[in-house]
Amino acid sequence: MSTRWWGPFSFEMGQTRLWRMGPFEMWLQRQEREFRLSTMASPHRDTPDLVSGATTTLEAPADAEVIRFGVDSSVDQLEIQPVTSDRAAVFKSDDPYLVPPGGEVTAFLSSPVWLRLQLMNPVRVLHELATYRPSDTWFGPSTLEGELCYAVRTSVRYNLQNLATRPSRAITVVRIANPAPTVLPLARLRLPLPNLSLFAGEDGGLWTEFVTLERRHDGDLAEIRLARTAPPEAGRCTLVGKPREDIGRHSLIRSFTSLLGISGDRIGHV
Amino acid sequence: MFDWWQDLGFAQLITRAQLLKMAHAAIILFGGLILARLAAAIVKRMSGRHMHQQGAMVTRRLVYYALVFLTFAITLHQLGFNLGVLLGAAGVLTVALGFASQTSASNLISGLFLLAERPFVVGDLITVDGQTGFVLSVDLLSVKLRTFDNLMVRVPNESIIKAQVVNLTRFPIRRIDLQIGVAYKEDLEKVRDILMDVADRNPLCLDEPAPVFIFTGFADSALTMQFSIWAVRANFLELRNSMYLEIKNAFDEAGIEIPFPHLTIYTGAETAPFPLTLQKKDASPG
Repeated sequence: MSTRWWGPFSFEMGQTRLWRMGPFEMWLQRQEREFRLSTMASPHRDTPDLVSGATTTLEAPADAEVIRFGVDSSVDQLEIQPVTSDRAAVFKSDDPYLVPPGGEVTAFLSSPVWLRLQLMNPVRVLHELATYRPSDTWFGPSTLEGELCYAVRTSVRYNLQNLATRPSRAITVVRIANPAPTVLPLARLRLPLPNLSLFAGEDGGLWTEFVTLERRHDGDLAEIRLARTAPPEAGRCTLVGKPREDIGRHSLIRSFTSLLGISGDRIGHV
Repeated sequence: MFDWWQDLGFAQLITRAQLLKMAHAAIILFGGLILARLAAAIVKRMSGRHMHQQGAMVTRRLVYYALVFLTFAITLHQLGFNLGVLLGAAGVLTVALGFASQTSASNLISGLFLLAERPFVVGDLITVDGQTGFVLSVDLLSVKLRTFDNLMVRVPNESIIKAQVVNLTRFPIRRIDLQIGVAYKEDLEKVRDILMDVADRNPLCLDEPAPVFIFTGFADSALTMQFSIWAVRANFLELRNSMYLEIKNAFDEAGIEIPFPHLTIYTGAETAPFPLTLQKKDASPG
Protein backbone atom coordinates (compact mmCIF):
# COMPACT_ATOMS: atom_id res chain seq x y z
CA MET A 1 0.00 0.00 0.00
CA SER A 2 1.41 3.39 -0.99
CA THR A 3 2.28 5.84 1.74
CA ARG A 4 2.40 8.74 -0.65
CA TRP A 5 0.91 11.85 0.96
CA TRP A 6 2.28 14.56 -1.29
CA GLY A 7 1.40 15.98 -4.68
CA PRO A 8 -1.25 18.37 -6.05
CA PHE A 9 -4.63 18.46 -4.34
CA SER A 10 -7.79 20.09 -5.64
CA PHE A 11 -10.28 21.79 -3.36
CA GLU A 12 -13.92 22.59 -3.87
CA MET A 13 -15.09 25.76 -2.18
CA GLY A 14 -15.50 25.03 1.54
CA GLN A 15 -13.84 21.62 1.24
CA THR A 16 -11.46 20.41 3.95
CA ARG A 17 -8.75 17.81 3.51
CA LEU A 18 -7.00 16.02 6.33
CA TRP A 19 -3.49 14.68 6.64
CA ARG A 20 -2.45 12.51 9.54
CA MET A 21 1.06 11.09 9.83
CA GLY A 22 2.06 9.75 13.19
CA PRO A 23 1.87 12.60 15.71
CA PHE A 24 1.21 15.19 13.01
CA GLU A 25 -2.24 16.28 11.85
CA MET A 26 -3.06 18.93 9.29
CA TRP A 27 -6.35 20.32 8.01
CA LEU A 28 -6.46 22.41 4.84
CA GLN A 29 -9.67 24.16 4.02
CA ARG A 30 -10.49 26.29 1.01
CA GLN A 31 -12.61 29.34 1.77
CA GLU A 32 -13.58 32.41 -0.17
CA ARG A 33 -10.28 34.01 -1.22
CA GLU A 34 -8.22 32.10 1.34
CA PHE A 35 -6.85 28.76 2.42
CA ARG A 36 -6.99 27.91 6.09
CA LEU A 37 -4.24 25.69 7.52
CA SER A 38 -4.73 24.08 10.94
CA THR A 39 -2.07 21.88 12.46
CA MET A 40 -1.69 19.90 15.59
CA ALA A 41 0.99 17.66 17.04
CA SER A 42 0.34 14.85 19.45
CA PRO A 43 3.83 13.69 20.45
CA HIS A 44 2.60 10.61 22.26
CA ARG A 45 0.94 9.19 19.16
CA ASP A 46 3.57 7.86 16.79
CA THR A 47 1.79 5.22 14.74
CA PRO A 48 2.28 4.20 11.12
CA ASP A 49 -1.34 5.22 10.32
CA LEU A 50 -1.63 7.53 7.38
CA VAL A 51 -4.36 9.81 6.12
CA SER A 52 -3.16 11.58 3.01
CA GLY A 53 -5.39 14.43 2.01
CA ALA A 54 -8.72 12.68 2.36
CA THR A 55 -11.79 14.88 2.30
CA THR A 56 -13.21 15.33 5.75
CA THR A 57 -16.13 16.99 7.43
CA LEU A 58 -14.28 17.05 10.73
CA GLU A 59 -13.38 20.48 12.03
CA ALA A 60 -9.92 21.14 13.33
CA PRO A 61 -9.78 21.26 17.14
CA ALA A 62 -10.10 24.67 18.71
CA ASP A 63 -6.56 24.54 20.07
CA ALA A 64 -4.99 23.75 16.67
CA GLU A 65 -2.54 26.31 15.29
CA VAL A 66 -4.14 28.23 12.46
CA ILE A 67 -2.59 30.11 9.56
CA ARG A 68 -4.60 31.69 6.77
CA PHE A 69 -3.31 32.39 3.27
CA GLY A 70 -4.95 35.01 1.16
CA VAL A 71 -5.32 33.82 -2.44
CA ASP A 72 -7.35 34.67 -5.49
CA SER A 73 -10.81 33.10 -5.44
CA SER A 74 -9.96 31.14 -8.59
CA VAL A 75 -7.13 29.25 -6.88
CA ASP A 76 -8.42 25.74 -6.20
CA GLN A 77 -5.22 23.70 -6.09
CA LEU A 78 -2.37 23.42 -3.65
CA GLU A 79 0.68 21.23 -3.87
CA ILE A 80 2.17 19.45 -0.88
CA GLN A 81 5.83 18.62 -1.25
CA PRO A 82 8.14 16.78 1.14
CA VAL A 83 11.47 18.46 1.85
CA THR A 84 14.38 17.67 4.13
CA SER A 85 14.74 19.54 7.39
CA ASP A 86 16.10 23.08 7.48
CA ARG A 87 19.00 22.18 9.79
CA ALA A 88 21.50 19.39 10.16
CA ALA A 89 20.46 16.60 12.51
CA VAL A 90 22.42 14.81 15.21
CA PHE A 91 21.78 11.14 15.77
CA LYS A 92 22.81 9.18 18.83
CA SER A 93 23.85 5.60 19.29
CA ASP A 94 22.11 3.67 22.03
CA ASP A 95 25.38 2.16 23.14
CA PRO A 96 28.92 3.22 22.32
CA TYR A 97 29.75 1.99 18.84
CA LEU A 98 33.34 2.00 17.72
CA VAL A 99 34.61 1.75 14.17
CA PRO A 100 38.09 0.23 14.22
CA PRO A 101 41.00 1.78 12.29
CA GLY A 102 40.62 0.94 8.62
CA GLY A 103 37.06 -0.28 9.19
CA GLU A 104 33.75 0.57 7.58
CA VAL A 105 30.18 0.37 8.80
CA THR A 106 26.79 1.08 7.25
CA ALA A 107 24.31 3.00 9.38
CA PHE A 108 20.60 3.58 8.81
CA LEU A 109 19.16 6.85 10.03
CA SER A 110 15.54 7.97 10.10
CA SER A 111 14.74 11.67 10.20
CA PRO A 112 11.46 13.63 10.09
CA VAL A 113 10.68 15.45 6.87
CA TRP A 114 9.30 18.91 6.43
CA LEU A 115 6.22 19.67 4.44
CA ARG A 116 6.03 22.51 1.94
CA LEU A 117 2.76 24.10 0.83
CA GLN A 118 2.92 25.80 -2.53
CA LEU A 119 0.74 27.29 -5.18
CA MET A 120 1.13 25.98 -8.70
CA ASN A 121 1.61 27.56 -12.12
CA PRO A 122 3.91 29.23 -11.27
CA VAL A 123 5.24 27.54 -8.20
CA ARG A 124 5.09 29.86 -5.19
CA VAL A 125 5.94 28.58 -1.74
CA LEU A 126 3.35 29.52 0.85
CA HIS A 127 4.61 27.85 3.97
CA GLU A 128 6.84 25.15 5.40
CA LEU A 129 6.31 23.17 8.55
CA ALA A 130 7.80 20.18 10.28
CA THR A 131 5.86 16.98 10.55
CA TYR A 132 7.71 16.57 13.81
CA ARG A 133 9.65 19.36 15.53
CA PRO A 134 12.80 17.78 16.99
CA SER A 135 14.55 19.25 19.96
CA ASP A 136 17.37 21.74 19.46
CA THR A 137 20.90 20.64 20.15
CA TRP A 138 24.38 22.10 19.89
CA PHE A 139 26.98 20.33 17.82
CA GLY A 140 30.55 21.51 18.04
CA PRO A 141 33.86 21.19 19.85
CA SER A 142 32.83 23.59 22.62
CA THR A 143 30.11 25.94 23.80
CA LEU A 144 31.95 28.79 22.09
CA GLU A 145 31.70 27.50 18.56
CA GLY A 146 29.50 25.05 16.78
CA GLU A 147 26.20 24.81 15.03
CA LEU A 148 22.58 24.62 16.06
CA CYS A 149 21.15 21.28 14.93
CA TYR A 150 18.15 19.10 15.58
CA ALA A 151 18.47 16.19 17.97
CA VAL A 152 16.77 13.22 16.36
CA ARG A 153 15.66 10.82 19.04
CA THR A 154 15.63 7.83 16.74
CA SER A 155 18.86 6.04 17.36
CA VAL A 156 21.39 5.09 14.77
CA ARG A 157 20.68 1.57 13.50
CA TYR A 158 23.13 -0.76 11.85
CA ASN A 159 20.49 -3.09 10.51
CA LEU A 160 17.65 -1.84 8.31
CA GLN A 161 15.21 -4.34 9.81
CA ASN A 162 15.63 -2.67 13.19
CA LEU A 163 14.54 0.69 11.83
CA ALA A 164 10.86 1.51 12.17
CA THR A 165 9.55 3.16 9.02
CA ARG A 166 7.04 5.98 9.04
CA PRO A 167 5.42 7.86 6.14
CA SER A 168 6.65 11.21 7.49
CA ARG A 169 10.26 10.12 7.90
CA ALA A 170 13.07 9.67 5.40
CA ILE A 171 15.71 6.98 5.66
CA THR A 172 19.34 7.78 4.98
CA VAL A 173 21.85 5.02 4.38
CA VAL A 174 25.30 6.17 5.45
CA ARG A 175 28.51 4.31 4.89
CA ILE A 176 31.08 5.41 7.45
CA ALA A 177 34.72 4.75 6.71
CA ASN A 178 37.53 5.20 9.21
CA PRO A 179 40.91 5.19 7.44
CA ALA A 180 42.57 6.90 10.41
CA PRO A 181 44.90 4.94 12.70
CA THR A 182 42.64 5.42 15.73
CA VAL A 183 39.24 4.08 16.67
CA LEU A 184 36.27 6.22 15.65
CA PRO A 185 33.63 6.43 18.41
CA LEU A 186 30.16 6.85 16.92
CA ALA A 187 28.44 8.32 19.94
CA ARG A 188 26.89 11.07 17.88
CA LEU A 189 26.60 11.50 14.17
CA ARG A 190 25.75 14.76 12.42
CA LEU A 191 24.04 14.51 9.06
CA PRO A 192 23.70 17.63 6.87
CA LEU A 193 20.06 17.05 5.89
CA PRO A 194 19.57 20.40 4.05
CA ASN A 195 22.18 19.19 1.54
CA LEU A 196 20.34 15.96 0.72
CA SER A 197 17.69 15.21 -1.89
CA LEU A 198 14.52 13.25 -1.27
CA PHE A 199 13.48 10.19 -3.23
CA ALA A 200 10.26 8.23 -3.08
CA GLY A 201 10.16 4.48 -3.43
CA GLU A 202 7.41 2.63 -5.24
CA ASP A 203 5.64 2.09 -1.92
CA GLY A 204 5.82 5.83 -1.14
CA GLY A 205 8.58 5.44 1.42
CA LEU A 206 10.98 8.37 1.52
CA TRP A 207 14.73 8.04 1.17
CA THR A 208 17.63 10.42 0.80
CA GLU A 209 20.58 9.72 -1.42
CA PHE A 210 23.28 7.32 -0.35
CA VAL A 211 25.88 9.13 1.76
CA THR A 212 29.50 8.23 2.42
CA LEU A 213 31.34 9.78 5.33
CA GLU A 214 35.06 9.24 5.33
CA ARG A 215 36.88 10.37 8.40
CA ARG A 216 39.79 12.70 7.78
CA HIS A 217 42.95 12.27 9.81
CA ASP A 218 42.33 11.76 13.49
CA GLY A 219 39.78 14.44 14.14
CA ASP A 220 36.09 14.96 13.77
CA LEU A 221 36.07 16.15 10.19
CA ALA A 222 34.71 13.93 7.46
CA GLU A 223 34.65 14.08 3.74
CA ILE A 224 31.05 13.66 2.70
CA ARG A 225 30.26 12.16 -0.70
CA LEU A 226 26.72 12.22 -2.03
CA ALA A 227 25.71 9.57 -4.49
CA ARG A 228 22.91 11.62 -6.07
CA THR A 229 20.82 8.48 -6.27
CA ALA A 230 18.81 6.61 -3.71
CA PRO A 231 20.53 3.66 -2.04
CA PRO A 232 20.02 0.13 -3.39
CA GLU A 233 17.88 -0.74 -0.36
CA ALA A 234 15.25 1.74 -1.57
CA GLY A 235 14.60 -0.09 -4.83
CA ARG A 236 13.27 1.89 -7.75
CA CYS A 237 12.84 5.55 -6.76
CA THR A 238 11.89 8.90 -8.19
CA LEU A 239 13.26 12.26 -7.12
CA VAL A 240 10.65 14.26 -5.17
CA GLY A 241 12.72 17.00 -3.58
CA LYS A 242 16.00 18.73 -4.34
CA PRO A 243 18.47 19.76 -1.64
CA ARG A 244 17.86 23.08 0.09
CA GLU A 245 21.56 23.88 -0.30
CA ASP A 246 23.67 22.17 -2.90
CA ILE A 247 27.20 21.44 -1.69
CA GLY A 248 28.18 19.50 -4.77
CA ARG A 249 29.20 15.88 -4.85
CA HIS A 250 31.61 16.09 -1.95
CA SER A 251 32.64 18.45 0.77
CA LEU A 252 34.39 18.55 4.13
CA ILE A 253 32.17 18.76 7.20
CA ARG A 254 32.33 18.22 10.93
CA SER A 255 30.33 15.08 11.45
CA PHE A 256 31.45 12.86 14.25
CA THR A 257 32.04 14.52 17.53
CA SER A 258 29.96 17.02 19.39
CA LEU A 259 30.96 18.21 22.79
CA LEU A 260 33.79 15.81 23.44
CA GLY A 261 35.03 16.19 26.95
CA ILE A 262 32.33 18.67 27.85
CA SER A 263 29.41 16.66 29.11
CA GLY A 264 26.68 18.29 31.09
CA ASP A 265 28.09 17.43 34.49
CA ARG A 266 31.40 19.04 33.72
CA ILE A 267 30.22 22.30 32.23
CA GLY A 268 29.60 24.29 35.31
CA HIS A 269 28.64 24.26 38.93
CA VAL A 270 26.49 26.26 41.31
CA MET B 1 32.87 96.52 -9.40
CA PHE B 2 33.60 97.83 -5.97
CA ASP B 3 32.45 101.46 -6.62
CA TRP B 4 29.27 100.86 -4.69
CA TRP B 5 31.48 99.88 -1.76
CA GLN B 6 33.30 103.22 -1.94
CA ASP B 7 30.10 105.12 -2.47
CA LEU B 8 28.68 103.70 0.71
CA GLY B 9 31.76 104.84 2.60
CA PHE B 10 32.83 101.38 3.73
CA ALA B 11 36.21 101.88 2.04
CA GLN B 12 37.31 103.75 5.19
CA LEU B 13 36.67 100.64 7.33
CA ILE B 14 37.71 97.86 5.02
CA THR B 15 39.79 98.34 1.91
CA ARG B 16 39.17 96.57 -1.33
CA ALA B 17 42.15 94.31 -0.79
CA GLN B 18 40.91 93.31 2.62
CA LEU B 19 37.47 92.67 1.24
CA LEU B 20 38.96 90.40 -1.38
CA LYS B 21 40.88 88.56 1.29
CA MET B 22 37.72 88.06 3.35
CA ALA B 23 35.90 86.81 0.28
CA HIS B 24 38.70 84.35 -0.42
CA ALA B 25 38.66 83.23 3.18
CA ALA B 26 34.89 82.71 3.10
CA ILE B 27 35.22 80.65 -0.09
CA ILE B 28 38.00 78.61 1.46
CA LEU B 29 35.96 78.08 4.63
CA PHE B 30 32.80 77.16 2.78
CA GLY B 31 34.62 74.95 0.30
CA GLY B 32 36.70 73.33 3.02
CA LEU B 33 33.65 72.40 5.09
CA ILE B 34 31.95 70.88 2.04
CA LEU B 35 35.12 69.01 1.17
CA ALA B 36 35.37 67.72 4.74
CA ARG B 37 31.80 66.39 4.57
CA LEU B 38 32.42 64.78 1.17
CA ALA B 39 35.63 63.18 2.33
CA ALA B 40 33.93 61.83 5.45
CA ALA B 41 31.13 60.33 3.35
CA ILE B 42 33.63 58.69 1.00
CA VAL B 43 35.64 57.33 3.91
CA LYS B 44 32.44 56.01 5.50
CA ARG B 45 31.45 54.20 2.32
CA MET B 46 34.89 52.71 1.76
CA SER B 47 35.70 51.78 5.33
CA GLY B 48 32.29 50.21 5.88
CA ARG B 49 33.40 47.37 3.61
CA HIS B 50 36.78 46.79 5.17
CA MET B 51 36.40 47.75 8.82
CA HIS B 52 33.98 47.07 11.62
CA GLN B 53 31.31 49.62 12.42
CA GLN B 54 33.04 51.39 15.31
CA GLY B 55 36.35 51.67 13.49
CA ALA B 56 34.63 53.06 10.44
CA MET B 57 32.84 55.66 12.55
CA VAL B 58 36.02 56.78 14.31
CA THR B 59 37.95 56.97 11.03
CA ARG B 60 35.22 59.04 9.45
CA ARG B 61 35.21 61.47 12.35
CA LEU B 62 38.98 61.75 12.42
CA VAL B 63 39.08 62.57 8.70
CA TYR B 64 36.26 65.10 9.07
CA TYR B 65 37.71 66.96 12.04
CA ALA B 66 41.21 66.93 10.57
CA LEU B 67 39.95 68.57 7.38
CA VAL B 68 37.86 71.06 9.35
CA PHE B 69 40.89 72.01 11.42
CA LEU B 70 42.98 72.39 8.27
CA THR B 71 40.26 74.51 6.68
CA PHE B 72 40.14 76.84 9.66
CA ALA B 73 43.94 77.09 9.70
CA ILE B 74 44.05 78.02 6.02
CA THR B 75 41.16 80.46 6.46
CA LEU B 76 42.90 82.19 9.32
CA HIS B 77 46.12 82.33 7.33
CA GLN B 78 44.22 83.80 4.41
CA LEU B 79 42.79 86.47 6.72
CA GLY B 80 46.30 87.42 7.68
CA PHE B 81 46.55 85.92 11.12
CA ASN B 82 50.01 84.82 12.12
CA LEU B 83 49.52 81.18 12.96
CA GLY B 84 52.85 81.05 14.72
CA VAL B 85 51.62 83.47 17.35
CA LEU B 86 48.39 81.58 17.59
CA LEU B 87 50.22 78.30 18.01
CA GLY B 88 52.32 79.81 20.73
CA ALA B 89 49.23 80.94 22.55
CA ALA B 90 47.69 77.60 21.87
CA GLY B 91 50.64 75.93 23.52
CA VAL B 92 49.94 77.77 26.74
CA LEU B 93 46.28 77.12 26.37
CA THR B 94 46.97 73.46 25.75
CA VAL B 95 48.73 73.10 29.06
CA ALA B 96 45.78 74.69 30.83
CA LEU B 97 43.34 72.60 28.84
CA GLY B 98 45.37 69.50 29.51
CA PHE B 99 44.90 69.85 33.22
CA ALA B 100 41.22 70.58 32.75
CA SER B 101 40.58 67.77 30.29
CA GLN B 102 42.32 64.90 31.98
CA THR B 103 39.06 62.98 32.18
CA SER B 104 38.22 63.56 28.54
CA ALA B 105 41.71 62.54 27.48
CA SER B 106 41.44 59.44 29.61
CA ASN B 107 38.09 58.64 28.04
CA LEU B 108 39.52 59.20 24.58
CA ILE B 109 42.47 56.89 25.17
CA SER B 110 40.21 54.33 26.83
CA GLY B 111 38.00 54.49 23.74
CA LEU B 112 40.96 53.66 21.51
CA PHE B 113 41.81 50.68 23.70
CA LEU B 114 38.19 49.54 23.55
CA LEU B 115 38.32 49.72 19.77
CA ALA B 116 41.44 47.61 19.68
CA GLU B 117 40.33 45.07 22.26
CA ARG B 118 36.68 44.86 21.17
CA PRO B 119 35.14 43.29 24.26
CA PHE B 120 31.81 44.08 22.62
CA VAL B 121 30.46 45.51 19.39
CA VAL B 122 27.42 47.57 18.46
CA GLY B 123 24.33 45.44 18.97
CA ASP B 124 25.73 43.34 21.82
CA LEU B 125 23.89 43.13 25.11
CA ILE B 126 26.22 44.03 27.96
CA THR B 127 26.09 44.64 31.70
CA VAL B 128 28.41 47.29 33.10
CA ASP B 129 28.21 49.00 36.47
CA GLY B 130 24.87 47.41 37.15
CA GLN B 131 23.32 48.64 33.90
CA THR B 132 22.22 46.20 31.23
CA GLY B 133 21.51 47.33 27.71
CA PHE B 134 22.17 47.00 24.03
CA VAL B 135 25.22 48.83 22.72
CA LEU B 136 24.02 51.64 20.48
CA SER B 137 27.40 53.14 19.71
CA VAL B 138 31.01 53.08 20.84
CA ASP B 139 32.08 56.71 20.61
CA LEU B 140 35.34 58.47 21.31
CA LEU B 141 34.47 59.42 24.87
CA SER B 142 31.66 57.09 25.85
CA VAL B 143 29.54 54.10 25.06
CA LYS B 144 25.79 54.53 24.65
CA LEU B 145 23.46 51.79 25.78
CA ARG B 146 19.74 51.27 25.30
CA THR B 147 18.20 49.57 28.31
CA PHE B 148 15.30 47.14 28.14
CA ASP B 149 12.92 49.90 29.24
CA ASN B 150 14.16 52.06 26.37
CA LEU B 151 16.36 54.44 28.31
CA MET B 152 19.65 55.75 26.99
CA VAL B 153 22.62 55.28 29.30
CA ARG B 154 25.92 56.99 28.62
CA VAL B 155 28.89 55.16 30.11
CA PRO B 156 32.29 56.90 29.95
CA ASN B 157 34.95 54.78 28.26
CA GLU B 158 37.20 55.18 31.27
CA SER B 159 34.58 53.50 33.46
CA ILE B 160 34.28 50.61 31.05
CA ILE B 161 38.03 50.03 30.94
CA LYS B 162 38.11 49.93 34.74
CA ALA B 163 34.91 47.98 35.30
CA GLN B 164 33.91 44.39 34.78
CA VAL B 165 31.87 44.14 31.59
CA VAL B 166 29.65 41.15 31.00
CA ASN B 167 28.83 40.51 27.36
CA LEU B 168 25.62 38.53 27.35
CA THR B 169 25.55 37.95 23.60
CA ARG B 170 29.14 37.09 22.72
CA PHE B 171 28.63 33.33 22.59
CA PRO B 172 25.87 31.55 20.69
CA ILE B 173 24.40 29.51 23.56
CA ARG B 174 23.67 30.30 27.20
CA ARG B 175 23.02 28.31 30.30
CA ILE B 176 19.87 28.91 32.34
CA ASP B 177 20.06 28.02 36.03
CA LEU B 178 16.63 27.28 37.44
CA GLN B 179 16.49 27.44 41.25
CA ILE B 180 13.91 25.04 42.59
CA GLY B 181 12.81 23.98 46.03
CA VAL B 182 10.67 21.02 47.00
CA ALA B 183 9.29 19.86 50.30
CA TYR B 184 11.44 17.69 52.53
CA LYS B 185 9.09 14.74 52.12
CA GLU B 186 9.67 14.50 48.36
CA ASP B 187 11.74 11.83 46.63
CA LEU B 188 14.68 13.63 45.03
CA GLU B 189 15.22 10.98 42.39
CA LYS B 190 11.62 11.29 41.32
CA VAL B 191 11.99 15.08 41.22
CA ARG B 192 15.11 14.76 39.09
CA ASP B 193 13.37 12.42 36.65
CA ILE B 194 10.46 14.83 36.33
CA LEU B 195 12.79 17.75 35.64
CA MET B 196 14.70 15.77 33.02
CA ASP B 197 11.44 14.78 31.37
CA VAL B 198 10.26 18.40 31.26
CA ALA B 199 13.55 19.44 29.66
CA ASP B 200 13.33 16.57 27.22
CA ARG B 201 9.84 17.58 26.06
CA ASN B 202 10.72 21.24 25.53
CA PRO B 203 12.12 21.58 21.99
CA LEU B 204 13.94 24.81 22.81
CA CYS B 205 15.98 23.13 25.53
CA LEU B 206 19.23 21.96 23.97
CA ASP B 207 19.79 18.22 24.01
CA GLU B 208 23.47 19.01 24.27
CA PRO B 209 24.99 20.34 26.40
CA ALA B 210 22.81 18.05 28.48
CA PRO B 211 20.72 19.41 31.36
CA VAL B 212 22.35 19.11 34.76
CA PHE B 213 20.67 18.46 38.08
CA ILE B 214 22.56 19.81 41.10
CA PHE B 215 21.37 19.38 44.65
CA THR B 216 22.34 22.54 46.49
CA GLY B 217 21.29 21.99 50.06
CA PHE B 218 18.94 21.45 52.95
CA ALA B 219 17.45 24.89 53.32
CA ASP B 220 15.18 26.18 56.05
CA SER B 221 11.92 25.31 54.37
CA ALA B 222 12.81 23.15 51.39
CA LEU B 223 15.27 20.91 49.65
CA THR B 224 16.92 23.22 47.17
CA MET B 225 18.36 22.32 43.82
CA GLN B 226 19.62 23.90 40.65
CA PHE B 227 18.49 22.60 37.31
CA SER B 228 20.77 23.93 34.57
CA ILE B 229 19.67 23.83 30.96
CA TRP B 230 21.07 25.37 27.81
CA ALA B 231 19.40 27.46 25.14
CA VAL B 232 20.35 29.27 22.01
CA ARG B 233 20.86 32.92 22.92
CA ALA B 234 17.77 34.07 21.03
CA ASN B 235 15.51 31.63 22.94
CA PHE B 236 16.89 32.39 26.40
CA LEU B 237 13.90 34.25 27.81
CA GLU B 238 11.26 32.08 26.19
CA LEU B 239 12.86 28.87 27.43
CA ARG B 240 13.40 30.22 30.93
CA ASN B 241 9.75 31.22 31.29
CA SER B 242 8.33 28.12 29.67
CA MET B 243 10.47 25.81 31.80
CA TYR B 244 9.25 27.32 35.07
CA LEU B 245 5.64 27.00 33.92
CA GLU B 246 6.11 23.44 32.71
CA ILE B 247 7.93 22.43 35.88
CA LYS B 248 5.13 23.82 38.01
CA ASN B 249 2.56 21.91 35.95
CA ALA B 250 4.60 18.71 36.09
CA PHE B 251 5.03 19.02 39.85
CA ASP B 252 1.31 19.60 40.29
CA GLU B 253 0.50 16.52 38.21
CA ALA B 254 2.95 14.40 40.17
CA GLY B 255 1.86 15.79 43.52
CA ILE B 256 5.28 17.32 44.25
CA GLU B 257 4.98 20.10 46.80
CA ILE B 258 6.78 23.41 46.34
CA PRO B 259 6.73 24.69 49.89
CA PHE B 260 6.35 28.23 51.12
CA PRO B 261 8.61 29.24 54.02
CA HIS B 262 7.83 27.28 57.16
CA LEU B 263 8.59 28.20 60.74
CA THR B 264 8.20 25.52 63.32
CA ILE B 265 8.07 26.63 66.94
CA TYR B 266 9.13 24.20 69.62
CA THR B 267 8.75 24.99 73.24
CA GLY B 268 11.35 22.43 74.13
CA ALA B 269 11.78 18.67 73.99
CA GLU B 270 10.39 18.10 77.46
CA THR B 271 7.33 20.34 77.20
CA ALA B 272 3.85 19.34 76.22
CA PRO B 273 2.44 20.23 72.81
CA PHE B 274 0.52 23.42 72.37
CA PRO B 275 -3.07 22.99 73.57
CA LEU B 276 -5.67 23.20 70.80
CA THR B 277 -9.41 23.45 71.22
CA LEU B 278 -11.85 22.74 68.40
CA GLN B 279 -14.99 24.84 68.54
CA LYS B 280 -18.23 23.78 67.02
CA LYS B 281 -19.91 26.39 64.91
CA ASP B 282 -23.23 27.49 66.48
CA ALA B 283 -26.33 26.61 64.44
CA SER B 284 -27.96 29.71 62.92
CA PRO B 285 -31.13 30.89 64.77
CA GLY B 286 -34.57 30.14 63.32
